[in-house]
Formats: sequence, structure tokens, C-alpha cells
Amino acid sequence: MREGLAGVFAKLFINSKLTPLLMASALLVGVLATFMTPREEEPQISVPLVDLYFSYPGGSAKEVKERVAKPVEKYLTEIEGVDYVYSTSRKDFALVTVRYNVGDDTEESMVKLWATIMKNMDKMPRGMQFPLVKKVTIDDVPVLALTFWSDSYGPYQLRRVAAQVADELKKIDNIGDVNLNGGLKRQLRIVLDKDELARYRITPLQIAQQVRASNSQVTAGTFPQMNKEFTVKTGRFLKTAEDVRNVVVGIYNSEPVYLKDVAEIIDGPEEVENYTFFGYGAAMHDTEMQGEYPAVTLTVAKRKGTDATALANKVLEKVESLKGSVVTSGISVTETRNYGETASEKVFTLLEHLIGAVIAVTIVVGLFLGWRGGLVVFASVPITFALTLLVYYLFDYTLNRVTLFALIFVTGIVVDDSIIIAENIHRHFSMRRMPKLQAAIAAINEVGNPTILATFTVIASVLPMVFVSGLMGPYMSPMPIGASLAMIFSLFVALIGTPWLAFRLLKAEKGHSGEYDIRKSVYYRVYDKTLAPLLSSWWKAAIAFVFVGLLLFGSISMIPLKMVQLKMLPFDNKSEFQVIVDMPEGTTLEQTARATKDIVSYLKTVQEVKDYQYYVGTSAPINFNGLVRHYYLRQGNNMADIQVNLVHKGERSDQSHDIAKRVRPKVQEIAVKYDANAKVVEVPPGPPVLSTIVAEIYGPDQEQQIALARNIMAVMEDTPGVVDIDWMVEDDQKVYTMVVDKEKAAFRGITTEQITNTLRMALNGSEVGLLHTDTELEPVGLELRLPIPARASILDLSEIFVKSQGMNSLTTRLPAGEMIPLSELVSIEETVEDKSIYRKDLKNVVYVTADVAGVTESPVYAMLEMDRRIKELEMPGGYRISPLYTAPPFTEDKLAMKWDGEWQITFEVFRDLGAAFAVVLVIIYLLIVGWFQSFRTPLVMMVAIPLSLVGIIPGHFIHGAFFTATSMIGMIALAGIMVRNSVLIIDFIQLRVQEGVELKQAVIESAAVRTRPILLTAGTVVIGAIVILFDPIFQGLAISLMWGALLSTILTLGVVPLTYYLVENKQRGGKPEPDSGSQ
Amino acid sequence: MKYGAFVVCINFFLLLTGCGGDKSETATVAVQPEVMEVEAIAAVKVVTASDGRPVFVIPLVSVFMRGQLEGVQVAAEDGIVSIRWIRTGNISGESVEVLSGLEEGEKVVAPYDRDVREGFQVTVKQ
Repeated sequence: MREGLAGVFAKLFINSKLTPLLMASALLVGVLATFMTPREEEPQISVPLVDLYFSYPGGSAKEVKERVAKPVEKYLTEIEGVDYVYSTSRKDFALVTVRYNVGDDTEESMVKLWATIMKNMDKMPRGMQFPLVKKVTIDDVPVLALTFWSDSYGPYQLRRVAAQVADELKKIDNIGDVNLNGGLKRQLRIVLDKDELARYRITPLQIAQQVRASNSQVTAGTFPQMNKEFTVKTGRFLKTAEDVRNVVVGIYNSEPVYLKDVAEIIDGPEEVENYTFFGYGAAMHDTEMQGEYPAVTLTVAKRKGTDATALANKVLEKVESLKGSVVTSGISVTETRNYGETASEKVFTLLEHLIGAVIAVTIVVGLFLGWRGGLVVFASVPITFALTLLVYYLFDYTLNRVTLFALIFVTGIVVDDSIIIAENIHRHFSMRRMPKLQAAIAAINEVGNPTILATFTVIASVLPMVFVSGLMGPYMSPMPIGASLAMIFSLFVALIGTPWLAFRLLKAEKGHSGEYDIRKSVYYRVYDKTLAPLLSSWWKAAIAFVFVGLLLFGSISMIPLKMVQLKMLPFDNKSEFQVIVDMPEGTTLEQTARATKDIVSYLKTVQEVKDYQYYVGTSAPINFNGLVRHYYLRQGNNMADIQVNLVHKGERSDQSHDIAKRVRPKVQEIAVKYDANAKVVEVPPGPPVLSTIVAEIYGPDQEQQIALARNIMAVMEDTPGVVDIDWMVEDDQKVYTMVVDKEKAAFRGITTEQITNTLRMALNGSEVGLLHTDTELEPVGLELRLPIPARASILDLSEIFVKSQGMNSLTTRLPAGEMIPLSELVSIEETVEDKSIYRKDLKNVVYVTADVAGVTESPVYAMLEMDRRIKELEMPGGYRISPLYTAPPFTEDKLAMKWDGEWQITFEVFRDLGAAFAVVLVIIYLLIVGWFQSFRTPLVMMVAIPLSLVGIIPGHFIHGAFFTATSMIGMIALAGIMVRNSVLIIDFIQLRVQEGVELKQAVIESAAVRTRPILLTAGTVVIGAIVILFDPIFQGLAISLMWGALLSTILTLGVVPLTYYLVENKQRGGKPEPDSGSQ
Repeated sequence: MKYGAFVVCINFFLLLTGCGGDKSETATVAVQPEVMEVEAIAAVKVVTASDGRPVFVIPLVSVFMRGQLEGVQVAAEDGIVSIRWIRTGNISGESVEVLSGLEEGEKVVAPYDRDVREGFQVTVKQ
């Protein structure tokens, strides 16, 4: 008998006093690690995303693109590690977004970026301001949102209270950004009076200059006197509204003109520029507060690597303690987001699943091996997991849904090593050929080495998943790492702990008097009836192969027949969704508020809605999805976000995705009334993308691109299941261009700059400084602006005056100081605002976005459906296009279209998983070749791998589930398990043959002997998977593992011994059944 | 014994195949509106401002302040009241110009009645 590593280990530890100590301490550190590892919901994903804001005042969209965006993109793409460069050019402004490879070091990327920008600053056009560079990371996503709302206070007071609370919260350890959404800030508004300005001959520009000039204070220097040094300060900051009122802005008739003479100074809330409200939904119908209330939302982000739950609890505690002092009565604080709680809940649900799986598995083992056997296996699992959790903690992983998923995923597999060893010890004890100790060691020796090999095949099958690239990578990588670690630990436990336990706990089965004989077992009789005839007759074998082949073919054909649909990831059952409302450009804030309110008044009647907040003119607190989609930039009069929170998932029967699907038609029906585009946005289960379906349209010029985009939108409208269709092309917005008459202006001594600045100040307002108060938490700006009624009409504007600079302007000899109305210098033209120009990786692009819901849930099918019709579209110039799938077009000479969005990630994931699978097969092959020293035997073993499809695909059909990325993971892992089963059978056949048993007999015997442990391990995989069957995301994995393990085990037990026999027999060539070469 | 274990497992397994599938629709909650009488209801009018441009006007008394927000109570065709946030411009006499938030012909409760809540049905006092 081979004396292997396993035997050595077993001998060393089976009677050692150290073994129980080791087991106990492993358990202990694991439990400690579980409580010390930070918990959060989403895995830590490092996607260095950097936004660069370039301001180029006066440039048209095209000019901004040419002068700013293009050169910037060019040099940014040179940086190593840059994955994508996107840009948006609009009038006066360009936003360039750089995305580095997923997993790159953020700090290093930033340094490289800065260096490149600095290097190229000299090449940038004059007039371009230094860019604002903002790093966007997942830790910017607030983990907690508290909405302050009140029946009696307005947005201004609420914001002040929230600011005070925010200031207090900042003192908590490990807290990240604290932000306020909504409400009105304090502002010192200088509201100009046109008539008084004209009377005192003062211009807005002059006021700005004077206010700025008076709001300064410097340390002038020091002087010594009598051995002491004194500091001299000059000037005085503007500290109160009174100070501002008394600024002298000019002289009229030798009298000073104070600011209060020409403007009203209001110290108080800024002009209304957002409407933020809070209200309860239908689920809270028993509260008194049925209306909607002005609100301000305070958001709290966490620092990287900290525990979301602990932070959220601390913040809530602090807020509670501030009630009564800072948060006065009349102000209610409602928790509108708590990712700490959801993270904890998720983690605990998964831990429950884990425990459930372990118990279920124990019961199965107990049924087969008796309660003592069950106990042996039961003890080994917690030790394995405890060690894995310890490694998570040491490697700075957090406990999130992915890392825990890895553990659940392997629950059914990690027990296998222990099962095989315990089962074999049990069998040897029952045989009673040797004394107990020797029997145990012999048992371990017999299966130990194949177990080690088998463990490595399973590891080899999951580990290549580490190489999944792109955004899905960080979602995937903890899985293979966690699973591999758990497998290694389970091997050690099986070799050290299990023998020790089994030796003490297991007893020989009673009822068997005399020697245990395999020939008497049920399994042997079954095999003797079924397998033996196949072995002796080639045509029976052939029929069996054809039958299995047909099963396989039938299963695979379910995919093209759409009986089983492919999807990246199914939707999770979350407790929130958002509605994004876009009104046509040029809509006023109030009109947007009106449409939003109408949508909300429907949403609040939906049964499952707990509460809602809506933010008109400003963005809602972002989530990870919004981060990638740049929702935080949604600030404009025509935009609104509605945040809808649902009741806890335990209290509703519908999943969040079904609710979103249900409300969508009604929401859009309301939106259409207002000419608005409303999208129901759910939290994506996996990595976020711009939209589920994105059509990128490339082409030689924007007009043609937009025309094609319009056609594609029409195709989408007609495709059932495609919803939320939108494009990133602004509507025509009427703009008034004030054309300055250059000659006249020059003649009167006025510069164009003066005119543009004056107009900007009058209409948009201009911040001319800060009020230097000591007590204010948020800076108080001094804003100079015309009152709303005065700027209501463009005609009024022409009553605004500018003052001639006279000879200073170098263009005229007239004396300075003449007041000239703008109407004399400018003529008004009505034009259409420039449309934004989007670019991706140096190519101009127009995006059309859509989502899928209802008829097709998977974008791939909708895309294929639309493809047919897009191919029929006639392009200007008489050619047709066919949508691209994997890479953007090579040239931009012709119109072209590429699918992007979820498809891109799906494609990358399935490509990488496919490649991983190929690598898995090669590694498994190599491992077995190394072990069996044969090139052919491994191929026989790997026959089992495709057989898992017979179970997996019909399994998905039966459950009506999608074949998702998690299903694919299950399939890959099964490959390892199936090969392990084959290894165990064939190793035993060879052992028997070496002992001199005839081949045919050896095959039947081995199959019979190995059936019990193989069924046991398959059973544990199945039972372990059942607990996750109800999890919306991991359902695919559960189905794969359950059905795949079940069917392929049954088939493997027949097919592998049969194939092995045929192959071996043919090679030996000396048997009576000659023509067995059906392969 | 061993068979028993098998049978239990397989039956359990078959039991689970029925999982998943569609769920029933749920109805939304219908609420009976409360009826209230108000002084008057005024329509949004279009008049020509002093500088010749057309503007919407409503009675000044219909506008209320909620903190810093200006609102009116809009009565729909069926008399159901909702609050609308508006932006006002010049005041001339009894009426005020509405810059955004309302459209011609819409009806506002004038004077504003603080006892009327959203969702109430209003009728004019005879």
C-alpha cells in the first residue's frame, strides 16, 4: 500500500494531545475575526475615476471640444493604466472623465494624472482656467442619510440646523464626507435697484469692485517699541449686513453713495434654487403626517475600510443626543438610508445561510454515517470557516456580500474532504480486518492522497476566476480566493482534525457479523445489474453513450431555444429605487417641481412605499450607481431626482424589481404629460454602468449621428421589453445672444468684457466676496444680482447701464463716466443653444440609453431583436450598418453603432470566465497526468465535466431562472467536483487491479465502493446550495450546484467506470469483448 | 435506513423545484377625499405688463409662504387641491405676476386657506 503524505499526517496527529488544542484555538480566533472584520454591503472596489472640469469662458461647444477636450484627451490617453477617457464639451465648459484600470492604486493614478496635466498646461489655450480635478471613489457614496423635515420650519432654517448637526458629526472617528442636500443657504443678497442705479450713476460693475475692495484686511507689518513688538493690521472685513450696507460705492453730487442707497441688502436665505421635500408613502398610512414637508438631507460617508454598521450606529446615537438642543422640537429626523444596517442585515442573513447549510449537511451525513459521523463532519466545518475568516481579517478584506458568498459557495464542498476520510474510516472499522488505530491509518492512506489531488483540482477550477477583468473583477475575485483558502484549510482539517475525531467517535456498524463485504452491499447489487451488462456488450454500451449524448444535446439546445435565458446578474431585492426626471432644457424650476410632484403623488399611493424624498434642481444623495453615472452632476432647473424607500423586504411580498416594473408605466404616463423623461432606476446587483442598454453612435458629423440616434430610438420604442429610452442630446433651447455692436462700443469707450460681466452679474448673480463671520458654519457669500421681477424679461435688461471708460479704453476721446444703456450697444438675437458634444476614447459619440424590463429581462435578447431592424436602416449615402458588439469602429468615416452598457460587462465576464474555464481544464488535465502518469486516464475523468450541463440547464428551466454569471461560477466549480469524483473511482480501480483483481470486477467493485462517499458529497453540495436558492442573486449558483451535482453525479457513476473500462480494455486488447471502441 | 435517506433527499429536492415564479399584482390604496368650502377660486389670467410682454397673474392673497418657499393651492378640474410651488415677479395692486409654476386657466384658491390640505376637494361657498 502506498504510504503517502496523508498517512504521515494522520499518524502524527491521530493521537497527539495538540490536535484538540489546535482545533479549539482555530475556532476561537475565527470567532474573534468575525467580529473584528469590518462589515459593509458592497465589496471594496477601487475604480480610480477622476473628473476634470475645464472652464473655458466664451467658447462654443465645438470650440471647447477642439481647444480643450481633444488635446486633453490626447495626452491623458498616454498615461499608463488609463482604461477609458470620456469627455463632454458644452458651451464654456468641458468635463473630462478618466477611468483607470479597475484595481489600480488611486494615489498613484492621481500623481500620474497631475504630472501629465502640469506638463501640458503650456499647450492649453489662453483663457482656459486651471482644471478642477476631483477624484471619485466608492467611499464617496454616503452610507447613511438623515432627512430633516418639518411642518413649521422652512428650508433655510432646516439647512442651518442640519449644518450644525453635520458639524457635530464630523467629530466622530472614521467618518468621511458629511454633506447636505437641499435646503437654502444663508446668503447676503445685494439686490440691485435699477432706477436708483441710474439715478446715482452707479453701475453693477462698480459696486462689485467697491465691495471687493472694502472687504479686505491685511497684516501691514510690525514695529518695535520699548523692547516689544507690535503688529499693525489695516482694513476691516465686512462682518455684518450693516457693514455691507455702509460700503461707499460712489460719489454723486459730492455726496457719498452708500450701497444701501442703490440696493437692498438682505441677510437671509438665498434665492430658491431647489425644492426638496419629504413625505410618507402608503405603507405608513397610520401616521398623522400625510402631507409633504420641506426637507434637508444630511449624508454621511465612511472612510475606506471602516465598518459601516458601527459608524452608522455612532452617528445615530450622536443625532439622538442632539435632539432637544440643536435639533429643536418641530423638526423630525428620519433615516432615509442606512447602508450600515443593510450591510449588517446582509452579513447576518448570509451567516444564517451558512449555518443553515452546515446543519443541513450534517443531517445528510448523519443519515448515511450515523450521528457520530455527522458530528465528525459538523465539527470540521466551523474550523475551516473560522480559519478562512481569520485570513479575511488579516488580508484587510471586509465582510461583504461577495466574501461571504464565497463561503456559502464552498460549504457543500469543504465538508467533502472530511466526509471522504470519515466515510473510509467508517468502512474500514466496519470491515474489522485490523485493530482500530491501524484501520484508521490504513483508511486515510487509502483515500488521503487522492483527496489531496482532488482538493487541488477543485482549487484549480475556481482559482482562474481571479483573472476576470474589468469592473466585474473585484466582485468576483474574493470568491476564488476565499473558496481556495477554505479548500486548503478544509484539507488540513480533514487530515489532522477528522482522523482524531473519527478515531474517538466512530464505531463499527452493528449488525454485521464477520467481514464487511462489498459484494453484499446494495450498491454492488445495483452495479452488478446495470453496469455489468454494459461492460460485456458493446452495443449496450453504445446505446448508453447515445442516450447520454442525446441528453446533453437536448440540454444545450435549451439555450438557443430561449427556454433558458442568459443574463449578467439578476436584480437583488433592495429596499429603494430612484426616479430620475429630466424636463426639456429650458424648463423652469417650478415646472420641473410640478411634474415631479405629480409623479410623487402617484408613487406615494403605492402600497410598499415607506417614504420618499424628492430633490428638484439638485441631486439626491448618490449611490454607487449614481457615482458611475455621474448623477451627482445633476444640478439644473430641468432636473429632479425622486428617492423612494420601500418597506423592509420581510413586510412585502413583491421584490423591488417587480415593484419598479409595476410603477414604471404609470410614472411614464405622468411624465409624458409634462413632456418629461422619467426613468425608474434600480440599484444594479453588479457593477454599475451608464445604462443597461447603451447604443454608442459614431460618425463623421454630429447631425448625422443625431439622425441615426433618432432612428435607433424609434427602433427601441417599438421593441417590446425595452423601456426608459433616452438619449444624451439636449432639446433645442432658445437662447438670446446679445450681440455687441463693436464700433459703437469702441466709440463710446466701452469694452465687450464690461458688457458681458454686467449682464452676467445681473442675470446669474455674481459672488463678490464672503461675509467674514466667526460663528457661521457654512460660508456666507455676498451675491450681487438683480431682483427676480427685474430680470424676468429680456427687455428690462436693456435698461441696464454701463459706464464709459472714456480715454482709458484707448478707443475714444470722450470723457469717462457717461452712463450708456445696454440697449444702445447690443442687439438681441434668438438662437439655439449649442448641444453638448460627447466623446469616448477620442471618438465623437452620441449615446442612446435604455433599460429592459418586462418581456425580456436580459439586454442581449433585446439587442439581437433590435439588430435585425437596425440593419435595415438606410444611411445617408446609401449604405447600411450592422451594430458592433465588442470594439468601437475602426474609422469614423461612416456611421457606425456599438452596443455598450451591461452588455460590455457581460461580454467581458463571460469571455474571461470562458477563458478561465479553458485554463481550468488544462490545469486539471496536468494535475491528473502528474498523478496517474498517463495521458489517457485524465481524458476519461474529464468526460464527466460536460455532463453537469445535463443538470444545470434544465434546472434553470424548471425554476424559470436566468443563466447568470453566478450560474457560470457554479458550473466551473462543478467541473472540479466531478473530476474529483472520477479521481476517487479510478484511483480505487487501479488499486484493486494492482492487488490482482480482474479489470471488469475491479471496475464494478470500485464503483460500488465509491458510490456512497460520492453520493454523500453530491448530497452535501445539493443541500448546501438549497439554503441560497431563495437569494435573488445567488439563485443561479444554487441551481447550478444542485441540479448539476445531482445529474452529473448519477451520470458520472455510470459513464466514467464504463468509459475507463472500454479504454483500458481496448488498450490491453486481450479480452473477449473485442469491439468496444465506441469512442 | 440508507434507502430512507435517499428517498427523503430526493423528495425534498423535488419539493424545491416548485420555487420561483410569478407573484400577484397588488392594488393601490384608494382614499376618499375630504370636502371643504373656500371663499373663492380664481383662474390664472394672462395680461400685458407695462413693458408689453405677456405675463400670468393671480390674486396676491392666493400666495402663501412656507418658510422661504412661495406656494399656491391649485384646484384641479374635480376640485382636488394640490400645492404648487411658484416663483413670483412684480406685484401690481391686488395681483401678482407668476414667473413660473402655473399655466393659463389653472385655478387657485384665493384667498389661501390654511385649513385646506393636499388631496382635499374644495367647492366655492355660495
